[in-house]
Amino acid sequence: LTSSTASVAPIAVGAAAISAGAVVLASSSQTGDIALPSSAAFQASRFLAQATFGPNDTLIASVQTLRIEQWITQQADTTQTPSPTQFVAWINRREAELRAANNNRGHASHTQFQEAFWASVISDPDQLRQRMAFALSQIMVVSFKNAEITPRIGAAYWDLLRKYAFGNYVDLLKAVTLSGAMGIYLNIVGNAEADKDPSRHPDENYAREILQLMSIGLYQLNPDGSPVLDAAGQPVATYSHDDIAGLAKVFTGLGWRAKTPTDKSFRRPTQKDADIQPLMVYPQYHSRLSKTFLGQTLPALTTANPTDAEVVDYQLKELDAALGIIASHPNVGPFLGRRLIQRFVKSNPSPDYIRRVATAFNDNGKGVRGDLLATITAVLTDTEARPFKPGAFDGKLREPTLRLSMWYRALGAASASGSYLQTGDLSSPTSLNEAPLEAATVFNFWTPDYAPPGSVIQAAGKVAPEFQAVDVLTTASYALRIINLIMFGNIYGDLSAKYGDIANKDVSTKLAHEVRLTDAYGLVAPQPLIARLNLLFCGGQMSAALTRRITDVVNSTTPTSRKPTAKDIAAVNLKRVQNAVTLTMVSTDFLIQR
Amino acid sequence: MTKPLTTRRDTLRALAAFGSAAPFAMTLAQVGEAAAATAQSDYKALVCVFLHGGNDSNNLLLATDSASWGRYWQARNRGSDPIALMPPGTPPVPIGQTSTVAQRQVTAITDPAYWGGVLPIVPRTPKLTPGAPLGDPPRTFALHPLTPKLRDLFHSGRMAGLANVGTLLAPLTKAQYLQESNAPVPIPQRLFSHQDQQAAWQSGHVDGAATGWGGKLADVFRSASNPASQNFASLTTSSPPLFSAGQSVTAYRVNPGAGAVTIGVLQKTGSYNNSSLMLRALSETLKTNDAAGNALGDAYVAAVQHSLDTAAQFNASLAKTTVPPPPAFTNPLTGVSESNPLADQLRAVAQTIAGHNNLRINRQVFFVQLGGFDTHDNQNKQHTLLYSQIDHAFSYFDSAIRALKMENAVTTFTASDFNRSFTTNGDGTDHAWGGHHLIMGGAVNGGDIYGTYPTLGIDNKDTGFTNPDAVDNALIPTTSVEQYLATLGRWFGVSDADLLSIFPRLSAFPNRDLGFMRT
Repeated sequence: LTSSTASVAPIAVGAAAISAGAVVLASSSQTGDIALPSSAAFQASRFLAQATFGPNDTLIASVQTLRIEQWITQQADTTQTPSPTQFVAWINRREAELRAANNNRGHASHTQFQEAFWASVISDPDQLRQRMAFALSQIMVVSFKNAEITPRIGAAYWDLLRKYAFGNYVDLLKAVTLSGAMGIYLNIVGNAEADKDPSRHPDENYAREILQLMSIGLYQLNPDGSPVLDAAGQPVATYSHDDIAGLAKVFTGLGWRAKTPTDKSFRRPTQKDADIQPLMVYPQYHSRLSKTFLGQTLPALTTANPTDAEVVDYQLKELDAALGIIASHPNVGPFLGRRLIQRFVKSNPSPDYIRRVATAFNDNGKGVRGDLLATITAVLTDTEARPFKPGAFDGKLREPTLRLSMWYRALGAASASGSYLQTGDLSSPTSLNEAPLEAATVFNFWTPDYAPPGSVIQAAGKVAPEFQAVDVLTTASYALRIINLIMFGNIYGDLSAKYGDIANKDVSTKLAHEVRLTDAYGLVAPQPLIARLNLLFCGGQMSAALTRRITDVVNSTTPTSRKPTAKDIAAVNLKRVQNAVTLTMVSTDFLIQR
Repeated sequence: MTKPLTTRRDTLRALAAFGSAAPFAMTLAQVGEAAAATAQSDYKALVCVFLHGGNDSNNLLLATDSASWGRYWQARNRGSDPIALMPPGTPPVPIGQTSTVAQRQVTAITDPAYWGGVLPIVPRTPKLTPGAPLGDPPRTFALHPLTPKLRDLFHSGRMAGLANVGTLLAPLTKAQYLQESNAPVPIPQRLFSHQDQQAAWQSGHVDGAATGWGGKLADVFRSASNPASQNFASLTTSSPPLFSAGQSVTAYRVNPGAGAVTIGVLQKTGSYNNSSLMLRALSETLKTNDAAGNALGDAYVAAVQHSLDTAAQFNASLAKTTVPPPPAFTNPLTGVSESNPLADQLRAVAQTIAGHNNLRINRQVFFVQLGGFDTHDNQNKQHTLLYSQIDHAFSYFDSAIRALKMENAVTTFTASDFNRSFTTNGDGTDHAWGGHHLIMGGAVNGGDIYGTYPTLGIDNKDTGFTNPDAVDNALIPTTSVEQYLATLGRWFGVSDADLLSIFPRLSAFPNRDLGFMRT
């Protein structure tokens, strides 16, 4: 044990040096012939923790070869994406398999969407696109908690978010508006005009939330995200209920795609594949009155006795004009910019950081507004994204989904069946308390302005959105899940079951790389193991205290037999890695991305 | 703990009245001890049932006098799936038959005609339409047809209604509202927005606040010498809401149907996974902010520590209690017997209340919620399930608390984002303002409707009708959220001075006790 203190020193110094941004940890530092990570590798990992579902050896090498900007450009290349419809295709395949396996009675459920998600984030190369879809899914929220959103409808929504992830914001907004998922979730489909009925009014749900949550928010913003204040020092509202009522009329007369539109197809999908296709216009249900909102007025249809084709033309042009008014509002840049920074990088960006991202949104350098690739590039390449010396409120609490995805990706997890079987609901509060497309409400798992009550964070006027899901239940559940995950090799493993849940081991890792980080005696050595975990889980920022604790535990993890066989050694090596990974993943060195 | 100490401010003030240095010689801890000792025997609990999404209480508590009903029917018996309920006394119409009242064939159990008429309730004191001459006959009222047990609770005197409550900065008339920016009294901002109106209801501040009024009531009764009054005074069955967060008191999340989650291996000693040091290192890692200097790391570790500190004590208390589970609940939409999430949460509340002596605590504030009330679409279908769940859960909780002989100590009340539009959007309703609420318990002056039940109907140019109590589709509240909550707080034992501090706009309203609680 005495040697452990000595062996740990270079890494502790290295980590400190990295966080101070100064010294390159010599890549020649070696234990036996195992090279320790370089400073450049740590920096690459730190970036990848923000931009992907988790760093791994391949990506760390790739980012060091390419510049970050080049890597981002490469990610936007659609050839990186296996198929634009892969989520829907996954559901279709699994639906057929489940039906065949259950006497034609089986059905795909939202569990199959979770399979598709994990398959993609663990294995697919288009990591930034997937992260962007994940981020957008928390800004333009739909949820399987609404049972009318079928697995296919949810999968089509995810395919849509991936498709438009690096496109133009106004195109994304239009695609979301015409998606079946949003159509159901915020009641766009089947919304009929009430032009001549003063006792009825169009549904206002989507009109309100598209403004409040997806584009401009409640207050007028300066380009740096701070609220515009009136003479009395109060924030200035962006809209009133009159604007909502005006905009609500725009979103009338949208229903499911059908060759022969009927009252029924207006309200629910009747034709094959209508559920995964964009909604279409139903002129007979569309308001022909003028619509005033955000200080502009879209004109009434004044043609006497218009034909259906004339109303369709009017409605389509009006929809584009309305979304254009929203997308060109000066709030969108700082509003969306702050949210994207919070999803990828940190909870508390400085006003300047928000302004720089908003500037990129407003003009991508070629005079184009709303370029989401330019926007996310600005988010990820900002000088503030990876500071040399993170401050007290820097970084963010890693989302539970990202904690798990990092484990999968860092340690080379794979699915034995190829179907990434998911046998539980990760969104349960006694599980991870988060799963994609499983938010409880349109306000997502957490809101951008949340600060834990009574905390220093709140007292300082700072925020930490992900803490909205932190409480006595979820903290203990997470720790328990991680202990079980690592012991059983699968998130659904259960220590309370007598033999664990063997059937749940489909997506697992054998920790093959890590158990080979051995010393001259064939035992896994603390130094290279910790260096690797520091690289893959902590971006080179593992503290000296945690390093020391893990070192001691690894050294104390020994065979019970006095004359261990090769099998005993292999077993104890696995336990050394398990213990080290467990400690890493419950530590704030991992939990706080910074 | 390094958090600031809060004790009963009225106690401190009483001590300060001696006018000497005496109160300052008494340590704050001693004051807290004194407060705990005096109040130990009189246990009280408040249970907030939050109807998440904005309940359409226009269809929960209804006025059925002919003028009200006529305008209600006019506004709601239209659209692709009319949301008008049937008038009192209408017999249920089976599927396949035609309702003569609704003039349509009933095709599903979600059709209000299938449920039959609304259920009449008779308030103890007669109510007139606002502005009606004194000689007018009293108005008649009813509850939703799927809430027969609520009707029975109302008539048994253990439930009261409170009409037209909403966020207000000061008493407000329609004429004042219509003057908008020139209004002589301020109008609340961000009406109709879920998040903001939830924040107003849960904080007790119209503009929201960093802490919740439930947590702040618990703060008042916190004793420095009794950790339970910090840890188990403000409880919630869901992700801790703003309501539950106090200045000092931390929200405690209860897991319905199960105890607190414990990390079993931390209770073990010796070797774990072949390491003699692993258990100690695991415990140390959970309790240490290794990301030293990072405030988010500090906050996370504090939350873990809170969980580790409380789980065993909470489970030990729970193990000593016996509260029977809710009776079977049949989902009316499917006919399948299933769990009722609201009843399950209320069982966890009843279990915690039953264990209050084990936890050594005499004041508790609970928050439970039911989602799905944002009924923009398919309101009839959604209400079929939601109102059935409310009826079943309230009735069960009433029985469970009476079985504990604690009905006079436990008061349950509804809250929601806002009421919904009086008119239909075809098959649902949109966000609005003032709404109606229910209060249940042995200490409630039940069997009556408090506040002022408003005139119903929307302005109509053709008939010349204008509703003095509504703008467009929204009722202008005649009772502020803070008046409602302060009445509950006063029963809970909070002093007027503390209530005025917890509810900053309360001072704008002359009536700070609405009378629905027995004192």
